[in-house]
Amino acid sequence: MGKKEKWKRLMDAFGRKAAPEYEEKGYPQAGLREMAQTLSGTDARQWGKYAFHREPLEGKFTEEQKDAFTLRANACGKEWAKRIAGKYESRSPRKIAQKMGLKIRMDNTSRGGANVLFAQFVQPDEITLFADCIDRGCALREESGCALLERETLTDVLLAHELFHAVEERNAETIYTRTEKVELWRKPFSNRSSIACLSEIAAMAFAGRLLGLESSPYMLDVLLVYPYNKDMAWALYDEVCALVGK
Amino acid sequence: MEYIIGILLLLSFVGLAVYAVRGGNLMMGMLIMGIIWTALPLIGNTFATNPEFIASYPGVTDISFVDAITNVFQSGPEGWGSVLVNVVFGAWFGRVLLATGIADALIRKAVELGGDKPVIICVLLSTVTTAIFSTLFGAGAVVAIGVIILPILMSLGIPKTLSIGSFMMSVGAGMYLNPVLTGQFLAFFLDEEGKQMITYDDPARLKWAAVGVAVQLIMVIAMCVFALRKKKTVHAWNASAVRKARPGYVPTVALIAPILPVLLLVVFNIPIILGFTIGSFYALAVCGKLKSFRGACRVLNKDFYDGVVDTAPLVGFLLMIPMFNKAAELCVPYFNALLGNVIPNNTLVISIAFALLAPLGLFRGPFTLFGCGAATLGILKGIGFATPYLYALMVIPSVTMNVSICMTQSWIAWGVSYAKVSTREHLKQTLPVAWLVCVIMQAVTYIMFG
Ligand SMILES: [Zn+2]
Repeated sequence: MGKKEKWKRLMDAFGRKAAPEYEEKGYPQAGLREMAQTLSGTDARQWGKYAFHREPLEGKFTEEQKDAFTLRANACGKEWAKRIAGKYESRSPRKIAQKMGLKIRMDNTSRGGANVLFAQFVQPDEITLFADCIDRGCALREESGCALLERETLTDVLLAHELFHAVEERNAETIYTRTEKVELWRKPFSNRSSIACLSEIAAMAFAGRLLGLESSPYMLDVLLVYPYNKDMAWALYDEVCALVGK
Repeated sequence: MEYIIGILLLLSFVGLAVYAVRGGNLMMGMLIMGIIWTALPLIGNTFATNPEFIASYPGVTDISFVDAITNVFQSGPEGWGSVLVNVVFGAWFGRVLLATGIADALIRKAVELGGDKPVIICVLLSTVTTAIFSTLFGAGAVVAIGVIILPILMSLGIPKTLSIGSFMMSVGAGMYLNPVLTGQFLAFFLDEEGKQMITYDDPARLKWAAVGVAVQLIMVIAMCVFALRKKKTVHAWNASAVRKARPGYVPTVALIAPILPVLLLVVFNIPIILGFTIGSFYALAVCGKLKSFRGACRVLNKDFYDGVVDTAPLVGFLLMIPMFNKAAELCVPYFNALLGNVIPNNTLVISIAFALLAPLGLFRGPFTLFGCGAATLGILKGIGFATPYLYALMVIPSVTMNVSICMTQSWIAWGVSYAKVSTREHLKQTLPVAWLVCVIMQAVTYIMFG
């Protein structure tokens, strides 16, 4: 056992007191296949509502504005998928990432709990995929009947999503998701802010177009949480259903 | 004889330290220590022969068996009653802030001011969190606020370790002023009749607490600015539990509610329980929750109940502490005999030691009152330092080390697992800052009370 490992074990021994759980229970239960079916029928505008429900600046916008933003963010994601595929002459996120000089890292630690991590992009050039999450997702391929959970597709989707964030970073001056701003302060003060959820909406559309997917990768929010915590997946599913009026 | 008993007492202290560090139940630990620290001095008193030793502690070395056990096991917990009442009212007020949506609204306002500027967001949210937790208390409350704030911080690309570190340390900053937590510390300082030797509204203590809030909050903000200078943000694709639907309408005037009780206390000398009551009814009234008498009764009942439940896990532990405190008083002659010449009766030396060794407040160590620090306090009391000085000395590591960053604090364990950071990453981010806060505050304490 290395020094680092020993140190970690010591720390864990000290901090081993079980973390208290404060999770919501009692959401309507649904079968995996049923959820996958309903979610795959959810359209871009409806996923926009879900994205804005998690947006910190949500209170600043009317429903009409949100719909308009969603439309433009989706168009932006698709547009850039076309451009990037053309520029790097490939539709494989892995190849594009290589050509863009990005590092791809696999993280093997389990990232479950109250907040499940799928993948991340760290500035300036690193993408991390969480292997445990992919493994657990793939295991549900048959049960769910969802094509997105095919191992290769799933890896590509996660990679493509994060790839968009890298693209955003390199084109921050011109890309819609960064140039769309909202004024937060009253005159004469000014604080113009971009809208975080537009990046996510566009990243999903980017992945969808690049890989030619039939349904939005947004549904992974529910499906990839399911193997970690069914109650949380049901809660997320319930949230989506309530927002789209199903 | 004095020395043998003294050594045995010291050994039991080490035993408690090991027990606490290994994560043993502290309620049981305190009870057992209370029994041991009552029995040992009573045995010592029976067999003490040195007439000089007996004569120098009248009322302690010649105490009767019945008086001793009455003092420890009956008067001790009884004397804590007044503190318990404050805790309950504070918890009720906290529940009102959550149920009316005022806490939620404050955070939303802060976020809508900061937008996508991580530094501004960190500053605003840290300040709001500190303000909220200058009155709010309990793991339930920290989690309720945490599930709102943490996803916001992370969605803005602020690294997880910084998100969790700054949030928990902001909670801790508010705790310096928090009447509920302070009440628990004050319970360590009761005289023979069970009366508080130092009170919440003591002007010097209040000033010191305000400095504590300011120092820790400024250090948290400095930590954010420093950590975000490289702009190495993270875009994570994750899914987290849903935010609850936003509760009803919260007018702008409601937003001062969190600091109302403390404000009333400091400016108008309105006692804290009345302050909590006024604050609660103010919050409920402006948020339109008092439209009918019947509705008001229902809301009052519900929030009070939830508040009491929030504090319930602590009450047991806190009712054992006064037993242990009283027992420690019986031990004073023996500690003095053994350590009187070893531990310097010099506030400067003690202050420097506490500043340099501040991390001993982690993992329920000897510097935190929520661990075996209760025994350290007993020893220091025996040496005879002034109450305000001892209070500040012990509270600094208890708040800044234990309550703000230690994994043995239930809500921090929750946050660290929620944000998916390791204990090591968490400590690496927070310990240097917390240590610095301790050093600054020990200096302030020495200047004010030393
Ligand atoms: Zn993303």
